[in-house]
Amino acid sequence: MGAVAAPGFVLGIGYLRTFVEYNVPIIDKPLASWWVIIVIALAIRRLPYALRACVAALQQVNVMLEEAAESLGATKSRTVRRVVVPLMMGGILAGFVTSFATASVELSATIMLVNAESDAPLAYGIYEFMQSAAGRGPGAALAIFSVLIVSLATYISHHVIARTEKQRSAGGIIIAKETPARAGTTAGAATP
Amino acid sequence: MSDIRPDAVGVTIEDLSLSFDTTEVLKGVNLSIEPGEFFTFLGPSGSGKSTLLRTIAGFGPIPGGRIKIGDDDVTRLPPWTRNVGMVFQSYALWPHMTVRKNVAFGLEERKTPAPEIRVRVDEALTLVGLLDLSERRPSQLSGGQQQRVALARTTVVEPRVLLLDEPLSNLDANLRIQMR
Repeated sequence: MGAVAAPGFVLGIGYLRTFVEYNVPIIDKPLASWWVIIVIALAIRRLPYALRACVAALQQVNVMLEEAAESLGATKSRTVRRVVVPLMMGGILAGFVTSFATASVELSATIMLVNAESDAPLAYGIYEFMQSAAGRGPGAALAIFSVLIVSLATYISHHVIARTEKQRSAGGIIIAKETPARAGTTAGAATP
Repeated sequence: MSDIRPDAVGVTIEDLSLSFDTTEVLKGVNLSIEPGEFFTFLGPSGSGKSTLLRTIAGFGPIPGGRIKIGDDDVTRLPPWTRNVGMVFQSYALWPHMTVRKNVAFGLEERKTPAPEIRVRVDEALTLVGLLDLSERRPSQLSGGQQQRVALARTTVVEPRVLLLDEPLSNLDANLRIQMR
């Protein structure tokens, strides 16, 4: 969560200064001027939000669904694979889509790290075009694209979440009404 | 419960105690359930019936005292090694799997061969009268039908001990008799 506290600009400068001395072996240039650094920076910048989406998705998975799997012989890791992750998938996907969309229009960290224009993300393109009078048109067009991308992504993630929730709310987890006890409630029975 | 399985085992509980933080939920529970016995806990809401069942199944904190299933001391064993079936009050069916997949889960985890899984799942679903609905999702079933799926899912693996938490609350009278 700490990554939220550092502004993207600060993170960008930090990465630039740290990785300018680190040469990537095969391509033989500093990591700070390679496009991968933008990917890393954006990933780190978006991590807290993606993490929050995953945590929310995890909290949606009722613990009894895990216990049911364990009582049927599934170990913890098998339970995670067969029950928890599939049920979290909607939330993970939604988090991923939102992270991607917001990253594509982010400028603060990337502006420090862009080395070649061809590697730059969408937001950097808008920024570049808008510098000159002649670029206003293309810049505005790109801006429309970025609005479209973000709204499309928001719609998709909203749709995915709504669908999973519908599936779940009608699904297994309905708390059984406790039978209004006549003399006391039947709790359980054990028998081989 | 007229015919007892030859491998039936009893459950012995010795001086079982369990606390959540400072609240003592179970205290000095001693209990012996014979092989093949049908044993019922009665008590008001909040008296620890569900907690006791959950502890026998292996959920929640490790309790004081001892739980023995047959001759095995299972007090500290994780749930998946106990072979204790539990039907939850809220059914806890997996919403992302069909009825058939739900019921087959336990057998798949036991590495049962696929053809055998098919046969046994069919049997279990026939027993609870839901064979026609095997390709549906739990969300497309009524409460009583969901409960029967939960029952089939647990009984199909033939657990040593079957724990039922409010097991028949949602079944109508006829089905109740049939289930018993």
